[in-house]
Amino acid sequence: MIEPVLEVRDLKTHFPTERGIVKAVDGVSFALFPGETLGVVGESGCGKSMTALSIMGLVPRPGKIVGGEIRLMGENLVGKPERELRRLRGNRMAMIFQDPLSTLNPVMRVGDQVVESIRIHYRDLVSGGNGTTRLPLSWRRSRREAWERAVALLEKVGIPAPAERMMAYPHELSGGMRQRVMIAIALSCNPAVLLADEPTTALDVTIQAQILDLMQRVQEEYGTSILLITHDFGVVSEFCHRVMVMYAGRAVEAAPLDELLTNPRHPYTQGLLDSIPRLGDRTHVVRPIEGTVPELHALPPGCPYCTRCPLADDYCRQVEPARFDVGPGHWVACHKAVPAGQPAGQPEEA
Amino acid sequence: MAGVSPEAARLQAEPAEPLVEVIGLKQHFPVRASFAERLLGRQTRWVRAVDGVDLTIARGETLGLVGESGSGKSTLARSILRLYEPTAGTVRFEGRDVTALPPRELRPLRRKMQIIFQDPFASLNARRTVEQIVGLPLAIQGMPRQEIRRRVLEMLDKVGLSPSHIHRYPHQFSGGQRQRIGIARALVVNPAFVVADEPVSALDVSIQAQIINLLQRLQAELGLTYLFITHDLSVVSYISDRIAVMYLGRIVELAPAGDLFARPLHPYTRALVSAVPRLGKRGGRRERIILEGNPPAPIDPPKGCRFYSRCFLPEKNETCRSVDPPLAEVGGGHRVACHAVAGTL
Repeated sequence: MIEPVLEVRDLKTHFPTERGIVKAVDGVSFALFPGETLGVVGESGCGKSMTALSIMGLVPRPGKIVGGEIRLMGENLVGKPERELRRLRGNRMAMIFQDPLSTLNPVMRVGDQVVESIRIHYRDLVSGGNGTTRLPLSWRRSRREAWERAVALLEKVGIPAPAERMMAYPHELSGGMRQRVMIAIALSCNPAVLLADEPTTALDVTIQAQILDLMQRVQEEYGTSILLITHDFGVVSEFCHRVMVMYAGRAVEAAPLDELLTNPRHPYTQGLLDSIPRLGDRTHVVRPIEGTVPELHALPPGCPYCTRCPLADDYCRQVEPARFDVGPGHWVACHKAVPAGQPAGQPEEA
Repeated sequence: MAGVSPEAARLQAEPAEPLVEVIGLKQHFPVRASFAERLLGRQTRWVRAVDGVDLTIARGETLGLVGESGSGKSTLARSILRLYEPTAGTVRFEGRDVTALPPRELRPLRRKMQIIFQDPFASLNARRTVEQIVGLPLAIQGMPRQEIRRRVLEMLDKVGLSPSHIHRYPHQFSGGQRQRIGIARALVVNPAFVVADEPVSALDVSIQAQIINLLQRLQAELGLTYLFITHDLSVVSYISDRIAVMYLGRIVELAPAGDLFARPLHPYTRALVSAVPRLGKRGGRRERIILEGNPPAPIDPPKGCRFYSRCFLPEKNETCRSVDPPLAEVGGGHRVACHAVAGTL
């Protein structure tokens, strides 16, 4: 049995607000295996980004992880002190964001930013990983080495004339080039897990194709496990091995890609797939999901989707559905997807 | 004729009356020269956002306009509406030359040409109620208040908002509802022609479908003509009768919607269509054309074919570099600006 690189169990990240507790992530569980890409799909506010930020230990205040476990290569990250998390970020896991212009430092040359992350990583290597040792004597020399390694990384991510680009500021690069720099920084430490939050959403489709292609090549070369967060089912279906669908802070369905596309069991997944126009297929009639996502601090007691679900009945409105296995690696949290007469599923299945 | 899609056949069988005609339209913007550059006597450089576009939009049709950021699609739409003063060229609306009209005569025409914006957060005045926002175009026309109220309520009903929403402010609505307000504001003056500039790009997919269906229903009910701008090829293929593809200020291909995706001819269109991630099995992926590099800046664009620097066709040669390819008809209402495809190499 292959051990997952990353395992999330019953994760709960809540935000206390004046209007009540916003349960941004509420009981999400999944596993990410070596070398695979897991797509996390859902609409704005479903908790997909917050799930990734929780894993990175970057939940913005006043948000807090209030329950669950995040196991990265067997080690539980929840409750770890910031100093130790900082060591793991970059070394074992890295994250890239939708808008590289707001994540890159605007007043620092991109080369220096790549070099910085290489050197921090290098320091961890020589200090045995606890980040406490003083800088080694070779620090000065290491700067030149780090610079050369950064040029090589920029070349690897497909930046033309990398040595010159090292001297550029972020605003001098195009959106696609900036995202390549972010990927180079993420790769600088050769992480086991790459969390990619809408990495191509701000890019034009031809540039998106370039970036997805790059991420795929990186995965094949380094065996990186990727958690790809997106709202675009097209991107998911070109890139992911497995998919998890989220709604209102919960995971509602997960399955291998082909299974999810051909045999979606949750009404929300079905609704999402029906609402997407298909390129060049004008016979596919777009059917929207009626209504809007409920406010997260005022969720209905039962199934979170019951306010928009065409199948919902009184039971759905009162009792929250548990996970139910419907096929190999395919589970769904929906009362209506469970065949009549069978008990509800086991919540601990990953 | 074989190979012609039903839409093309329909458009050919009954040549619809043109509502909007664009002839040789150019929209150039000066790049501000720095002080040093002026001292050195450098000439003003120009961003050729739209650089020679010919286009006809028939009454009742939806013309989709696609292209990547910076291709000039939004500028083209705004020049057609004369929100910019075009540098050169002519725009005719219902046969009248819009580009030459003095402001006083332009105003009644403005009522017939409206625009829906991408961002329903930025395009609605946060300090006005829905009634004030939707009613403003009517108030400008001098319509009495009672009449305005009646029209606004009627319009809200048409776009799927309830009468109780009339006194609310934009922040009290979701993105999809805000876009409905934007649509109501555009349609309240009974326009004939509506430019929809990325109307669903800021919305979640489930809401996007609601708005697409609403726009289609309103078109059928009110006999509207749409110029639908988007970077999303799936959306444009769903809603459009014909599609124009823009690259660096030019239309490089124009065809009936089904035809464009079944038979993209321009190398840029082929790359664009192939780059769209599609629903389907992961393994059964078709060949993707990955374009190298980024589009060149529209400041002083290349002389010949604008796509020359990124073109991957083996046939490309000196002619492409020096001679600008015209948008030539290749049959069935399909037009393409490429020497290799048109056989003019």
